[in-house]
Amino acid sequence: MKPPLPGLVLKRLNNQTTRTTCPYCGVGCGIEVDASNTNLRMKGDAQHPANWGKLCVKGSAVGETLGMEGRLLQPIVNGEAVDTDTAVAAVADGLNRVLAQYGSDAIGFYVSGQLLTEDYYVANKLIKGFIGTANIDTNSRLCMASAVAGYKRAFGSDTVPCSYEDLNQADLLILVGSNAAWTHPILYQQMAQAKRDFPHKKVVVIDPRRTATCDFADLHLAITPGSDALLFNGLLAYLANQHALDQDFIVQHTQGFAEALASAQQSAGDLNKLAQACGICLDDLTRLCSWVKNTPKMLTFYSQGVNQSSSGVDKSNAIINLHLATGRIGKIGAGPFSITGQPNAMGGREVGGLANQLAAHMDFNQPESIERVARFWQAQNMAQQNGLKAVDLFEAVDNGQIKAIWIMHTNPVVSMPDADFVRQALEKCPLVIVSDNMADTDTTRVADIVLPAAGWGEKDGTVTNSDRTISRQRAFLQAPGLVQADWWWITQVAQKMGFKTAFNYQSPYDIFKEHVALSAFENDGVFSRRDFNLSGWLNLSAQQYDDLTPTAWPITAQNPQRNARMFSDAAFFTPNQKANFIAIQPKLPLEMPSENYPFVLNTGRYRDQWHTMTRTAKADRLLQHRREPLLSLHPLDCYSDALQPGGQIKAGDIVKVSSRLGETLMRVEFDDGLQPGQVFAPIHWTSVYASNARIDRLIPAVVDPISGQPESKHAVVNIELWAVNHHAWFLSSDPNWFPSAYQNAYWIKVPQQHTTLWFLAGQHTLNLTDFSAEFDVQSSSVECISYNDNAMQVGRYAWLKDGQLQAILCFAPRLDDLPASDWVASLFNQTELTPAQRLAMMAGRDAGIEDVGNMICSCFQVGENTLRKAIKQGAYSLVELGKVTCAGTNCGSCIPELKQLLAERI
Amino acid sequence: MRVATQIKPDLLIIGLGMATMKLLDEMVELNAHKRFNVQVLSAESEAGYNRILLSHVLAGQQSLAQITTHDQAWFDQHGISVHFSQKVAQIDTQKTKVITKSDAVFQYDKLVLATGSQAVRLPVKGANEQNLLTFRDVQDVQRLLTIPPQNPAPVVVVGGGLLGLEAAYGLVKQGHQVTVLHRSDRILSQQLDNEAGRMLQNQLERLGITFRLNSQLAAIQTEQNVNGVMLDDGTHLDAKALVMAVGIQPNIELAQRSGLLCKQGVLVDQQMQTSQADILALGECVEFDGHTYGLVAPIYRQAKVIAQNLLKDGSRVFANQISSTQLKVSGIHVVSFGSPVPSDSTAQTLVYQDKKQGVYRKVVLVSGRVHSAVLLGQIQDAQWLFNLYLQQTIISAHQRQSLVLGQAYYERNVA
Repeated sequence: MKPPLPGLVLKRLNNQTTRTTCPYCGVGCGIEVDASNTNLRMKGDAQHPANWGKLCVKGSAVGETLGMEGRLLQPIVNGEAVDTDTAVAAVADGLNRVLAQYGSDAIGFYVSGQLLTEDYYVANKLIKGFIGTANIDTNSRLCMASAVAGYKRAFGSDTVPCSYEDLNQADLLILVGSNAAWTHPILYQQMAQAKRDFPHKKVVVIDPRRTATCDFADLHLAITPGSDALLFNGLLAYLANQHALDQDFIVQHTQGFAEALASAQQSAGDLNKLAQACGICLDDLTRLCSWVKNTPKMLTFYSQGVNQSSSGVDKSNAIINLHLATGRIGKIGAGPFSITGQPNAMGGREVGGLANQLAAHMDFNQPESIERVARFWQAQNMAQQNGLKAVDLFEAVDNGQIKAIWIMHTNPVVSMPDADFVRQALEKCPLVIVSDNMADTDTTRVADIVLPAAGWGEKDGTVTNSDRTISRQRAFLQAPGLVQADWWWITQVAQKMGFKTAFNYQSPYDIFKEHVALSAFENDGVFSRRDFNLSGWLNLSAQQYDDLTPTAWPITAQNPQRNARMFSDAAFFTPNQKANFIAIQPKLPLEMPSENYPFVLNTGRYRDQWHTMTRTAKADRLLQHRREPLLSLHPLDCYSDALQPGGQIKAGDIVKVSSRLGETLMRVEFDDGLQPGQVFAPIHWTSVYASNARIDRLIPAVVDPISGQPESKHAVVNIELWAVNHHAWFLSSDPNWFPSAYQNAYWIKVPQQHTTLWFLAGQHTLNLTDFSAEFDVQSSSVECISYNDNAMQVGRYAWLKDGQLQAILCFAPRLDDLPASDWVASLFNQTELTPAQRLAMMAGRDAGIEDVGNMICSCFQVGENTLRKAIKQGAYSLVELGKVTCAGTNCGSCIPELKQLLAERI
Repeated sequence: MRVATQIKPDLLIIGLGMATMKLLDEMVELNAHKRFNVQVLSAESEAGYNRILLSHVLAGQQSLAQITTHDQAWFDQHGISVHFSQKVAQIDTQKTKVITKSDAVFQYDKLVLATGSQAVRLPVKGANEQNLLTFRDVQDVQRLLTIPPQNPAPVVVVGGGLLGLEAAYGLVKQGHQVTVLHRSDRILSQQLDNEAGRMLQNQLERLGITFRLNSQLAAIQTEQNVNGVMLDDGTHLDAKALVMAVGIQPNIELAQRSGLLCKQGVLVDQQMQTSQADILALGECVEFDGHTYGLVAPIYRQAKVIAQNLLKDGSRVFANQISSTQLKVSGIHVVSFGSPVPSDSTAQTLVYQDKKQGVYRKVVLVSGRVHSAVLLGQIQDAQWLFNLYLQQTIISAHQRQSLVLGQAYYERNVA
């Protein structure tokens, strides 16, 4: 049991359980928080329809991320800490000055799927209705903008047609571009359970990488990166050939079929050629074809692998085409199901918090919509057209068109493609306002004004998950210091700017009510007919809002309760209510490998990390799964001449990964789940946690022409060995220590419970004083324990003060000569060390204590060596392994890795 | 059979130190003592004791009885005759008999010389039998115990080797001020490198011993008793007694007198045979292949060789080998083997150091094998390291980094 986190203040002192929603992915799991004391025990909400009581490892550890370390507690204006009034005035004056001097379009907001719907609503209202520009975009642009555009092209509305229940009911699950086992663990587990319960179900994973998700697949198609649309075109052409389409549905409920089929037949009519173009074998392809042909309950589950592409919208529509042509939509267990990455990406879509949306699922392409929203808002300065999407927005910052930008809860200096460009643009921008709950992020480093925003547990409002379920996020902690909720900052600034009455809200409830009203406003099928409709809640009281249980929209008089499967009436939101087929000309990624950049770089998430780590890095157990960002390479590529002429790269070596835009330094691991020539890197590491691992430095700002979503999962790169003089790690109890000598070399920062762990590698000769400067070994209270093998240039040093361990350094030219750091780290909170421990420190482990190996099960801290031993001793199944070691019996996120270990036995 | 006992050959041993004791143990172990009529001539008057533990007796931590390994009952039990206070005057190699100073005559078929060694006494001005104490045997300890503790002047110990430090420790425990003079720049210069020497010196200083390094004794100043010493740089030190512990030299007069070939010690071959047939020698009195001996380990191996060869003639041989040395001072642990400061330019050094805890562990590798080691403070892995040395085990790159940390770490690192 972890001790209570210092500095937390409960919102109300009673023994209540608070039901809230997880702040991580788009699954939107319910969490029950025992807020009777600051231990804050958390468990899955057994009544929440997204998770029915389960939680993944990140969700289980969310309580550990609430500590005050690193929190931003007061506003900062030009480097000075100020009070909230001063901060509000500074933002309002700054925006008004830009407005007066350069006009509406010189202002931009870049917001986030971490905002609650209420925050999002007022941000959107302020900029579109009162500042007078639609220059508001969100980090959802990087996540699912292509899926939104795909739905809108096909259905006339951004409507996710499926619900999570359909995952259980589908007989054929096709996962495209999704490593759900790591990115949406609870949905993955639900699907895996359904497959175990009903083994006749078929699961197909389409992904260039063999990921953990392939664990439960009947068929994994490791397609050539970017060939997804081609494959779905091929399936459409095949089914047409086989007369396996739903002709009635096509005729009655769709339009544009002939053109779509012609494109499909022309691009992918021949199965042999198709298999070749997709890089898969014909047998696998025909197997998929036959399953698709024979399984009416087919659900396609797709995510960033489809969306983050220069033709992501087309890929979405190729998938949707197949569902429309087979009538597999609006029915039980069937449909094209886009899964979002963030807890409230959907809420953002609902309020219209994207540059190419207006509000409440209305768009700028209909003048009557603009007029309607302006009238509803009593807008003083209504925007009239789409604003700048993320990539264009930062380009406008760079070229001086945007003079003031307000960034809320997101870290674009890390997450945007061509991230160095974004940093340079922001450095030039006259007014950068950043709302965040962490003080030091790559983006707050370039801010003029920083506003302390409430974090999870402190803020109140609603979120919408991937299956349109609206849930409450509830506060159980008091906001510390001068921290305020985002809606508060936005409405205070709006009022200070002069928009007093329009932003005179007292609570999130006030805002939510207006949001409900707008969704219902003239949405009666006469004035207009819109999918997003909460009219059933028009009379919701404050108490009912507080007590709200998870409910999927639409919420209307006809359908007051949750869980309407959309399109069961096959009436779409186009003018003639027919869904659109889109003729798809499949395109490969824009940049292809060349002599100079021979490798294809894919990017993605790690199981236990989230986005740019501002939250997850605070829970040390989440850093145990992967402590460093690794460049994964196929083992055969270590011999590649392109990579290392005449030589060989070993696991653990540091390599320089470069694209035409920039370079990063990363450690290498081998993964035979990759195709040779393809490499993978995680998206999470920032300048706060790594010297040079911001992978978006390498990603070109190539976007989908319709959605504006960047091709974040694709770059062509070169890889060279970065020969080191030494590898090292350094554990320090001093949170402010920084490896200045490694600024242009390799460092990775791993915050741990009592210490900070630094992984280091340098091309220079190690200088001991870079580490020992603060320890006066002449002083009687300071001790140094050392181990040296001068011939091999191996050194290990521990420094103690008053008997307590302060820091330990291990270095060696060979990675193999570095001991493990975990056990040593556990000694930092001891007031005195035994003689045996003092010696053991230099070995990195107590001779009496097992080296547990790589952490596999983060929940119970079960390492690889422990598991291998248990398997050796007869735990031959998951169940037995769970009994013996507890591994995999809590969140289950590690089950694919457990199975891998079990498989290795055979 | 009665007749058989009468025809047993006479095995005569001169000296009853640890070498003889070990030889007798080995013979008993092999039942070889029953094939001989074994007799021992001892110049001392005590039964066999463990001389290594004399510093504990001097420190008052153990009594003579406690360090006695073989008492009269033991000799009786095994039918071995010991003749105490018998100083040998002459060996008649022609007639294979030994004549003592009291004119007793002992016939032998096999004779073993184990006459030991004596402390080196530096010929400094003012030195004489009375004022120059040594630290070799029970008599020495008894004399040291008579130094008056109430006199505040220090006892000066000359020599910072094993023996000198053990004597100094015992004397400090008796309540004396002790100053150790050492001519080298570090104590235990045969066993330790500079760092370990400094650390050990610190620990001994904390016990109350004072050191003067790089200094030699020039003269002893006496009136009735010792009252001071003069160093080679002219410094005068008050002193109430002087203990000489600069080394030992083999006792070879008897052998020389009896016509055995000697250099530093009594020359022996690999079967411990002297230049005279039927006369064997072992222990601190012998010289083999240019080496003389002061540590028990090689001497014990010599005893084994002799015992076995007495049983089955001539099959076992002795060979020189590095020995591991320990300092016998309570609470201070030092083990060393091999050359602490290797001259070999390819030598590679692994060092663990925890200064404030007085821990220093150094292993020197040559050609990937253990070549020497110094352990200070924590010595539990000394024997294991020494065995790695003896077996010339090749240390893999994989295991190398845990070698100096000890067996527990090393063996867990097997690939």
